[in-house]
Amino acid sequence: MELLKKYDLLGYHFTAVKNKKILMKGNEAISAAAVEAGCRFYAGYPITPQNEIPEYMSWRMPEVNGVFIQAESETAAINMVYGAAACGARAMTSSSSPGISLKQEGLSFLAGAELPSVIVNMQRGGPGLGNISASQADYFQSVKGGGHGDYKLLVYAPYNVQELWDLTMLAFDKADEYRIPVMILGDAIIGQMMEPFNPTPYKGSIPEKPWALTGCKDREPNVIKTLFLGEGELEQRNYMLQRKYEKLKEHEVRSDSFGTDDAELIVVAFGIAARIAFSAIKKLRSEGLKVGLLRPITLFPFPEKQLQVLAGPDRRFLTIELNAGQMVEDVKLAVNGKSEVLFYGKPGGSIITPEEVQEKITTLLSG
Amino acid sequence: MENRIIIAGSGGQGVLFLGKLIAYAGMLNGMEVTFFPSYGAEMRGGTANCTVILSDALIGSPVINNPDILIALNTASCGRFNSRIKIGGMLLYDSSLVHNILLRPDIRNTGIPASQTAASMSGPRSANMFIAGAFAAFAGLFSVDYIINALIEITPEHRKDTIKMNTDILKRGFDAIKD
Repeated sequence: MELLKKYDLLGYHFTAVKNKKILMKGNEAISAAAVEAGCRFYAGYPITPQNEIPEYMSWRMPEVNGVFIQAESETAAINMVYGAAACGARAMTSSSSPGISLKQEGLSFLAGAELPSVIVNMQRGGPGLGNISASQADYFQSVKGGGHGDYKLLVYAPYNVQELWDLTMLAFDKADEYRIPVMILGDAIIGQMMEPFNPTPYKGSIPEKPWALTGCKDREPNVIKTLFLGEGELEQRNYMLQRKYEKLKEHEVRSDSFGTDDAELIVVAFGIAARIAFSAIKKLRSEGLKVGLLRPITLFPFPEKQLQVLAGPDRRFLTIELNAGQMVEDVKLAVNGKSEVLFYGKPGGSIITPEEVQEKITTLLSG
Repeated sequence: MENRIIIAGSGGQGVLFLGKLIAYAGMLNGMEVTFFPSYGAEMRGGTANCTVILSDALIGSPVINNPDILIALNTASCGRFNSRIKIGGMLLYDSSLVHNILLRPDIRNTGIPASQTAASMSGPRSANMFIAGAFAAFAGLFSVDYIINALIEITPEHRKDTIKMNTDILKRGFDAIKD
């Protein structure tokens, strides 16, 4: 863990000791984890609240003989990632909501060309430039395909700094395993907060990439492309992509639950909303209320089966999101009418407090 | 038991450093901690504040409305957050800079001359160290040694020469409450 001994940008000075926790900002934990996992190419363009990521990469990448580029725009950055990934490098970009919108064309191309890559979105309030406080209003954009074409991203939604560390490393491994762009969907709070975590060493490995553009001396040239004009070519390509997404649904769903066994009301929330809800649920359970939490960790693939198992006529679901109601649609699809599905949330520009969640749940359970 | 602390002042007073110091000390003491800063536009000159939560159990939301403890480093910040302190909570303020505030009868109010004392020892910018020491005695969550150890660990290499003076000021702050 040599890197953690380095002088960190907030004036912190870490000495990593085995099993000792360290205190870091979410954005920095992502950056440090990416480098540990072998990321050697980063391109990005500044935007609050994710600036600590390019800031960290700007000094760290040269130290590990990696490449840091402050691109001229978000669009340029994602296309640089396309180039680096095509050459076989572990490549990453990061931004926040308005910047991620600009990257959508690139995401569609990365998905179409099957290029492993990691994209971080530290969401802020929208639409438009919105503001710089936390939001989860990019759920649809992240899981439904923000760009054109029938494609999916593997989407992770970490809810604490430990998960930012762990899932960033996992994101690089899964990106390579499935040859897919992976998104880490955070928000302003997760990115800006500091919290102790255990910087576990990277245990994965970077696989061989025989498809990569590495110079074709003594072999047939590899081609990375997204244009398929030949008879039936694109159709075939799309079915292949769909099979990949089915495989993700089968093997890569992750979720976490708390107190769901006896719950009359199950809160479904991801990322920071899950954390806010957790405060309230913990308190209400200690008072004897039968309320639980199901927290999707992957947003695509969505934990449909986990929800289906829990659904039933004597149970209700309450989806809590920092948006005007997006994931609630997927919860409804999964529950498929077997339980009532309710929604509580606030759009960009406002934050939900644990007290508000508590009040909402209490009203629902006493009503 | 969750202790929620808001630290508020203006940019340059060391509000964020004070928050990190308390969070780090809590971590050294084996507590669960979160630190959440005001960021972005607010950092350019105007007000600065941060939220620190110290707990013996997993912490939910790192962002809160109503703190158990408010540390106020100037009058404006005190005015902005004072009414949000929980009933039975505590207000610790720098009496050198916080003036003409309405002291709530339902909380514990303690003013200490942080800036004035710091100015007489090294400079007014060390007032946050005086407050850090006072906080240890005032909140009674952990011994002042954890704050001193945190200070030693998080002071960057090129500022190591400041540790001695900062520790002295910190201890003065601790004594100011103890006495």
